[in-house]
Amino acid sequence: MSDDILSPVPRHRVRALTSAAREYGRQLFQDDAALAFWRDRGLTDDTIRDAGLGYARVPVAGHEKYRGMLSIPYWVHGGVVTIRWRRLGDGWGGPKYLSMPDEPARLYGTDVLSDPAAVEVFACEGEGDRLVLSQLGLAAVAFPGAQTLKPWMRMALRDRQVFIVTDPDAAGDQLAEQLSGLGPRVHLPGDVTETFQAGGKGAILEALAEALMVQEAHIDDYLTGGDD
Amino acid sequence: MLTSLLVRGDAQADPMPRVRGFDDLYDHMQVVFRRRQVVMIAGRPGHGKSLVALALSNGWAEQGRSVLYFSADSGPDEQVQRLVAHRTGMPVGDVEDCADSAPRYVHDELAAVAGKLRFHFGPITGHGLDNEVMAHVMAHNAFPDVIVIDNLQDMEYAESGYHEQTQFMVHLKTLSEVTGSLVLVLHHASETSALGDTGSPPPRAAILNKLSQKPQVILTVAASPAIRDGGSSTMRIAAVKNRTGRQKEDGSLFAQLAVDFPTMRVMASGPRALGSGRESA
Repeated sequence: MSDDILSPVPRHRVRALTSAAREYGRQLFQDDAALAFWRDRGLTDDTIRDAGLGYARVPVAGHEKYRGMLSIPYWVHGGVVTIRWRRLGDGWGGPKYLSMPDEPARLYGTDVLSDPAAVEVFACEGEGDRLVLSQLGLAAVAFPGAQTLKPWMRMALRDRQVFIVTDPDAAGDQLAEQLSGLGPRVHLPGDVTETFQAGGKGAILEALAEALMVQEAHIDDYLTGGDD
Repeated sequence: MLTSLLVRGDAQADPMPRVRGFDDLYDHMQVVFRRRQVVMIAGRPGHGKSLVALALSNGWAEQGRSVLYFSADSGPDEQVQRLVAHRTGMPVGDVEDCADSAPRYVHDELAAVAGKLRFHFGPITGHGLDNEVMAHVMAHNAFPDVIVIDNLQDMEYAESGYHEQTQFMVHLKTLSEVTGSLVLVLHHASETSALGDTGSPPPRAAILNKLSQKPQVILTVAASPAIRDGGSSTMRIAAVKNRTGRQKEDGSLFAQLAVDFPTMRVMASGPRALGSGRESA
């Protein structure tokens, strides 16, 4: 096997992370400013609760460096395998997002991969965008970014019809290019969250309709044999 | 990185649950399928290697074990028809018709095991194999319980020769040690005089020496021409390498399974008086 491997997170660590994530979930709903961060991005309280989003006002032992940050747990089959951290507010210096130490990059929202009914899957960037899409009833996974893309992330989606909705910027273009073999790109006016904030569900679905037309064109190419 | 995982060695060689229809193999031949093992199933083309692998895979998936099935030999349509036939008892040809008239029915049958049994089609490299395993870890936070290679010759590069096949077997052995998965690898027995008559399971000598070193268990299968033409009868499965159970290298010690090729099924076996001409150990 290659050196670049992803091994299962041990059970005791999953238990500890799950317990911490639940605690941060309780703390989030006790802090209006923290809760407002996600509400302002268009997420309903049900979505926030289902995703187990949290706030480390009082961090558990070992998480002191994440004090005052928003927690984004990565759930796999009911257990948390890692937590990503988002700085609350945009005005303060330092990185917006933090991963836990030595943590390999992962897809966010992998429950979609265990759902055989999720034939069409949207590939986006960022946990917030993924939650907006799933709130709209669309199956979606978030990629961590072009720099940390691993072959197995593409492999995980190889039997799905993928629509790429990465951000309309250089990094989003690069990721879309890397994922291009999986399916067509859907161009939104902004990123998923911005588009949703500006135009609501209608703006997202309008872009989706265009994507389906692109897809029909692909199928036509295929049926007529194409040039390759 | 790899070494650190090997040292940890936390996965035990757990036995896999029994699958219905294979009682004679379990009880008479004392074959135990375990995690952290490489098991080879060899036979002439068309003698039911894939039927056995599919029946075991489906049986394990139904009992909650996760199976990654690399089908380089057969495409999605063929494999889906076989799986639905196996699960419903409907002949493969009828499933093909049913897929058009009652797609929901076919879909539901597939969905019943879809979370546990995942197919990969087309040729695959060692890297591709690893990446599929990593994708499984990402989705389930666990290595797969079983990895099926169907079959060795159809893996990319492996068709080009014996050396490549040997290298691939080394890779599979490492994979089973790192992941703790049971690796089930199917292999065409070589077309040599060592095969004996077509009704008998090939001897271990029909598998080139270095390929037979890595697997802990090697089973060889044989089905009579009448069976392969589409009927129900018995299949012979010999244990030509089986350190913890009964074995005979010449293939003369075998279990007999009731199989039905049109539905890809191994039937629940009756009393052990099925066969004749079987030698005692």
